[in-house]
Amino acid sequence: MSPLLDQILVAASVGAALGWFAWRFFRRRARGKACASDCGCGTKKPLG
Amino acid sequence: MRAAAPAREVARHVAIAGNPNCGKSTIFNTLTGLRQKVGNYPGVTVEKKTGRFFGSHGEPMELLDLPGSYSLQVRSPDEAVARDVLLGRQADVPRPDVIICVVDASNLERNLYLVAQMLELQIPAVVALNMADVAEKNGVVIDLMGLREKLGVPVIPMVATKGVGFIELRQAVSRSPLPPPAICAQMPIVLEREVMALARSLQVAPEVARGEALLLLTLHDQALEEVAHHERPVIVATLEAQKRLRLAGFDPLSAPVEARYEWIGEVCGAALHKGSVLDAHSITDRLDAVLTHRVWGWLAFLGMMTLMFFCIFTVAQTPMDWLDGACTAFAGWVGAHLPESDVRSLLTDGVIAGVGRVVVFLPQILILYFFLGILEDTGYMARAAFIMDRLMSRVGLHGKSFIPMLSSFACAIPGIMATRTIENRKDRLVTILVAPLMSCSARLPVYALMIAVLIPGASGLAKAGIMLCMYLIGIIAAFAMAWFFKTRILKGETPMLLLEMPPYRMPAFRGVAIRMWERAGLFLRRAGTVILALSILLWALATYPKPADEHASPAEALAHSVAGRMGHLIEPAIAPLGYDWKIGIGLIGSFAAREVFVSTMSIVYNVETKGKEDIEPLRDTMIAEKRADGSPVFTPLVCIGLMVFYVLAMQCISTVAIVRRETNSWRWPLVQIAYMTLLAWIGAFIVYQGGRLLGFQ
Amino acid sequence: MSDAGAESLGALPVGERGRVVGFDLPPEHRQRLLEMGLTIGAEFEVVRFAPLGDPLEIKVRGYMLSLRKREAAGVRIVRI
Repeated sequence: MSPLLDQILVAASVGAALGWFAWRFFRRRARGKACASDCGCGTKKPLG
Repeated sequence: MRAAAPAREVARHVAIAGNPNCGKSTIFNTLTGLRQKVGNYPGVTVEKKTGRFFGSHGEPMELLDLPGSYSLQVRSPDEAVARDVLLGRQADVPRPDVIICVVDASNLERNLYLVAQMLELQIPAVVALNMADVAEKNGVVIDLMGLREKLGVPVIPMVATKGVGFIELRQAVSRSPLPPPAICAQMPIVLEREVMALARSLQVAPEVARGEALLLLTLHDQALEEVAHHERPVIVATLEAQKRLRLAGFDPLSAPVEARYEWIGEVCGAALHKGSVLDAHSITDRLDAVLTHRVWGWLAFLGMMTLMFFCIFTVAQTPMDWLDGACTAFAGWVGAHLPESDVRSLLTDGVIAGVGRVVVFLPQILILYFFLGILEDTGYMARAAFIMDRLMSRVGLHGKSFIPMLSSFACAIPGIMATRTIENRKDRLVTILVAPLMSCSARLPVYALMIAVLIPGASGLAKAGIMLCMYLIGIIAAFAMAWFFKTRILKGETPMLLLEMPPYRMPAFRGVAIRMWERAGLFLRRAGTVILALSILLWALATYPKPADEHASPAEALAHSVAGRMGHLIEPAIAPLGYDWKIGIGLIGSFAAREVFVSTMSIVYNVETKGKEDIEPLRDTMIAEKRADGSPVFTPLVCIGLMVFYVLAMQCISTVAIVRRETNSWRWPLVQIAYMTLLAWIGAFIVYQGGRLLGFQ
Repeated sequence: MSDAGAESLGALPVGERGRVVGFDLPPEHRQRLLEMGLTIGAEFEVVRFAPLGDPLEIKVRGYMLSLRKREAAGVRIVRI
């Protein structure tokens, strides 16, 4: 494979990983960050 | 729980409630089978669980599992959610159309308390009189007609474990129309007046109002602020009503409870005829005489724990090796089919290695859940809490904190999730903070490696002995830190212990199996997402930037990368512990996952390892490794100090993520990282420098 | 509320039976005991103590309940 393709794939993977974290962060923010879990029960009251 | 969709898809929303140990889970599992949905890593008492089942006419229904509780009184966020669901105040969750109240027939009186409260909520209810067989065996005679009459709702006798009663249950739940309960406990007039006054001021549907007002009036001040979820005027109105009641000679917290039990007394007087001699507890009594005995109790307890760990660390070995082998084979396949490139390295050294390392722990976690599930089902867990309570309360904790800490021996994550059963916020927080000190299974490879370097030729017994010491250090540290937190930072009263000791019974293997299946799914999902992303990022840190020289050795390339530079950077901080920058890289890599230490060391010392078990070549290389002045790097003190470091340090991003989630803030995970890192450094320092002072090496 | 029994639950030895006549506990603790069925007039039997001496196990309303000596000391009882 060409070195360029190689680097592109790697950069894409790293970017995707970072992007996933960012997406998760903002998704939780948008949901009101209530219990910040993925169980989706919609609790509005935080624990701590 | 999906938003929007369910309301249209199902004919009815059904909730199921009951005391702990009444067989509610069995009924839930039998009705829904594998059509269940849960949140990530649910604790021992599942917070939010739904499932689908079909009514007697085939109509789809959704079943919501409410956490087992003795009353609707709200003492924790879990219970607050349950109450809100029942009052129809929980967003995204429609108020149930009907509630199944599961009752243990052999323990009717106390079980009816929750029923009494449910009836007050004016939701159509069906009482599932479970464990009817046990009641019969104990000579308890229940007049079904009488009970139906007194309760005013359908009563279905069931033996859930044998599948008896489900047809009638489905029928009762599918009945149309379903009238709300007509009967409930009568409150003293003075109390009733206040309740109605408060109900009128609430801005909720009239049928819910009385129930909600009653629940409000029985909350004491602190709870009123924290968990009432109401606006200020309502809280003020409640407090004033409570004051008036006290002046009239009624304790608002006690009067309704006593009124309900009076009513229960009438109900049982009419419908319950305790039979003959056969004592429910005779077998239980005899077992408990041994299992809570001063001497035998401890031995049985330790024996049980030893058996569990023995299985975790040996029985799990074969499937773990298999998984490890599969990962290695997969990596080999990728290596053979892709040309040498960064992408290939990303896949084999990053993704497969990173995710594989975590997935390998699945057998251990499954075995842990198996044991915990069985012990919980048989009723033994209550005895374990009973035995350990004195010790736990000495450090300001609860007998219930014991199980989460125990779970942490396999992996702190399920342990931390299990803290949801602890009501008191501070106690739960302390338990979460100290749980990772209980040596988890990820530390095993590190211990194994360092012990092999320390005493290469020694017997298995000696090695096991040292490992045991490391575990003990972790346990002692956990208790010590719990005491520290409870007395200094998170001051609070030692919580009240009120624990039911259920009669021993045969475990429901099916329920245990379903739970294990859930856990496995969640664990793998987590591995496929967070861990995957992390592995990619860590790989990048350890690979880039690359050295200019294309033919540099892997060790040199590692030193050149971000990770390597960070290793050099922290070298001054770890030099007092006897470590050099290479070990520094290992420590940094371990921050994400402890086991990574072994593979990082193998890269750094330029040794090919085929799998985790292949530590001989690595061990020999490490033993031979010398410093600039010719002295060995891995002296006994360094080895022991390093192990102590790993006992005490927080090196697991997954745990940090879970703590962040469970405490809903960054403060506590950061506190945890800070104190544990400090503790680890001090511990290793004491071992190394202290040992040198004493003349050791 | 004057009562004949000045004894508390915590003071009873194994095997003794009694009846609850009152409480010397804060309202929240009292509420929890009441919810578990330990109401005024409820009869109970002291079954055992834990290996380390605390908590204790009693039989009440047909089931087994464990509680600490500290709370038990706040439950006023009469022997029967």
